[in-house]
Amino acid sequence: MEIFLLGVSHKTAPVELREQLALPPSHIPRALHILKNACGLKEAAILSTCNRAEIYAVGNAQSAARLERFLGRYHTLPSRANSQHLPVPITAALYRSQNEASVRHLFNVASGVDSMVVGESEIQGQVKTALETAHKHDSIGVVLDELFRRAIACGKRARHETAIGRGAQSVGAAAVELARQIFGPLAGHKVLLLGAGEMSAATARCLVSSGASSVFVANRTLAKGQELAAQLRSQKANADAVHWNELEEHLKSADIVIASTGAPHQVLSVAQVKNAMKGRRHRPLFMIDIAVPRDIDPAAHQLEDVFLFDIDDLRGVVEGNRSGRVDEIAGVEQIIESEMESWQRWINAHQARPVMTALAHHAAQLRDAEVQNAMRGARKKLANLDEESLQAVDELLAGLGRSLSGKLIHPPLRHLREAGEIGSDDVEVLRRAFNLETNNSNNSLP
Amino acid sequence: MIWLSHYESTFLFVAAVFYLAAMAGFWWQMLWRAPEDSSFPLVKGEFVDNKTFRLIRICDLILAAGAFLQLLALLGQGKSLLDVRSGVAGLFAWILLIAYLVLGRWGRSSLGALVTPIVLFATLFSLVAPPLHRSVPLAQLETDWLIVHLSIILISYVALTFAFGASLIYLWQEKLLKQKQLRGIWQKLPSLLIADEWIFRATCFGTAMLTLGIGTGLLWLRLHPEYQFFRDPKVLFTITTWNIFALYLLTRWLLGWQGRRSRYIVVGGFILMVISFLGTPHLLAGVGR
Repeated sequence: MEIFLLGVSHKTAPVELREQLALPPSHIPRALHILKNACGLKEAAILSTCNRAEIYAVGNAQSAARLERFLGRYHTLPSRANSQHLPVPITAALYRSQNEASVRHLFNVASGVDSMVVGESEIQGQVKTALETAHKHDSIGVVLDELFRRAIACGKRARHETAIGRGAQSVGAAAVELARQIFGPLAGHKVLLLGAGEMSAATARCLVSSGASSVFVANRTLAKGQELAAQLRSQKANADAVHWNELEEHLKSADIVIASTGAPHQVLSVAQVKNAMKGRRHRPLFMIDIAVPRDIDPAAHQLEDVFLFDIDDLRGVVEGNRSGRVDEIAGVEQIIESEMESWQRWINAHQARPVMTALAHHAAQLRDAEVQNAMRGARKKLANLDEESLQAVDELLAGLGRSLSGKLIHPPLRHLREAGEIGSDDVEVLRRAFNLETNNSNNSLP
Repeated sequence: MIWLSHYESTFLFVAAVFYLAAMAGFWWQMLWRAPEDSSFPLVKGEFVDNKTFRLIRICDLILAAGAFLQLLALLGQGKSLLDVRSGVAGLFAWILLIAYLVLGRWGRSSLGALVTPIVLFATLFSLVAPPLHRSVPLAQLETDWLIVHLSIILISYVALTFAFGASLIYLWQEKLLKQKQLRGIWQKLPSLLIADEWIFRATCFGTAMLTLGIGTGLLWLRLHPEYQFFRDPKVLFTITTWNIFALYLLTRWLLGWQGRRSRYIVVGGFILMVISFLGTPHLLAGVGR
């Protein structure tokens, strides 16, 4: 049994590549089903955000190759000639790790150290969502469940025990910061928000708190847009929801467009933007696309007086205010180190668990066999006793058997657990000594 | 080349050195100084970090000291400074500088970086003027109308120079945005819309003053019916310049143009303005000489 990680993030791939490998929320259930059933993995969970797409899996030695094949086939990416590998740029952008490295990576991710906005807290919610989604679709088992729970706990510790999250922006806030730097004060400018999901809501709240007074929410489901607009109105903003088919009309009058839908395809073409620009008479239009896959055709940036930025462009904005938090990374790394030790103890103990179960089972079998023999012998020798007395003798023998086996088996079980936690060879020694057969004795985690 | 008298030239020279120092400060801050967390409100909506703010204040103080010295030189030159182009250039530099010190903070350090070379160039140009305090003002300058006319035109030139500077900042900023260079210099430039707003305001004011200047010129012409203004290239260039800036305002008002194209109109208008100042005979040809 091995823990695998296959992923791509803002650190290894630009948004053009990431969007090819993105797994939007609506796709995750199907992807998990394929991973669990078609790829033969024991456990699988997908962490998909605008900055990363990562698959965590528990399987055997062949699972890593299966994961890559899955990605290629799922996204129908062209394979290299005469091989089943992904195209070179994608292969180069993917990172793969096993066991301890995978665990450490997830702890780093959940702590916000690996985020584009160092210390941002949204990632914790996203890790939690990944765990819940995997549970909901029954693709997760004991190992990944424990791993994700520990990662969430590690993230919480990092934020409570260090200042990694102090002053950190969300991606939405970084988008608003970019808009503010381009426009100066946002008051008096019309903002058009594409999408009404969590990211849009967070972005909208930042917009309103930054002074934007006129916000329009365009969403495929009008009711969701209205819900978000109502939330913004409660913050005393002039917000309204608009029908998706009125999008182009509103594009003509908007100053800032922030796109963050969860759509798996582009929702705004360059032709639509071009058409809107005709009605704007060279008034600049600023568009910030924080969705992955991107919502707006990147070619729109080539149009005169159109300025389109994607999530990778926010890097410059957020790096300006990260200097203080980078100093906190050393503290977070210490927390991750202690969590790694704790994880190692748990996974070792988990590795010893089949041997412990087999030993307990073996002892119970011996005990039951001997007690049965003793009971049969007793019934022959004590044939003159009535049935009630014989049953009392049976109970006495059964109790004696349980007590003896319990007392005998307890020290080796305790030793097994302790040996497992520290990764001692005693586990294997005891397995051989008792000639125990375990289901996965040859697939242990290193 | 005849140099100014001893005191005038000393004042102007020291002022030019001050301008050079301030210009170096502005450009050093623009090109090499890494921005820190912005916290200090320079003007509404524009923030700079405390160190940058202090540096801008120091540069402004140096410029103010230079402006004081140049004022002494201008007072020494008296009304005669209007006789020659280089003298007028010195007065233009001084008005531009005062306008910058009063209004120019909106552009962070970027406007200072763009205005100080113009001020320095105009001041150095004024150093080549003859010793004006010794000369007798030209007969045509005895008419107050012409002095009023020249002053108004100079003020309009200053406003339109601001519009030009802001247009360059806009085009620079726009280029950086198109290239997605969102760090470094970009963070030190004012936002596009603020630059646009100031181009519009400066052009409105500059064009209004230019209109007033042309109007006072026409009134002066009533006193000199013998003057054939349609043969004077300065007048023709000035009227063309007015048309260019009026075109900008019309396209802005009627067509709502705000983007790159309207910046090119302002830049074109400024180039014509420079030609009408430097490339045509100073004062009105054939009058009073």
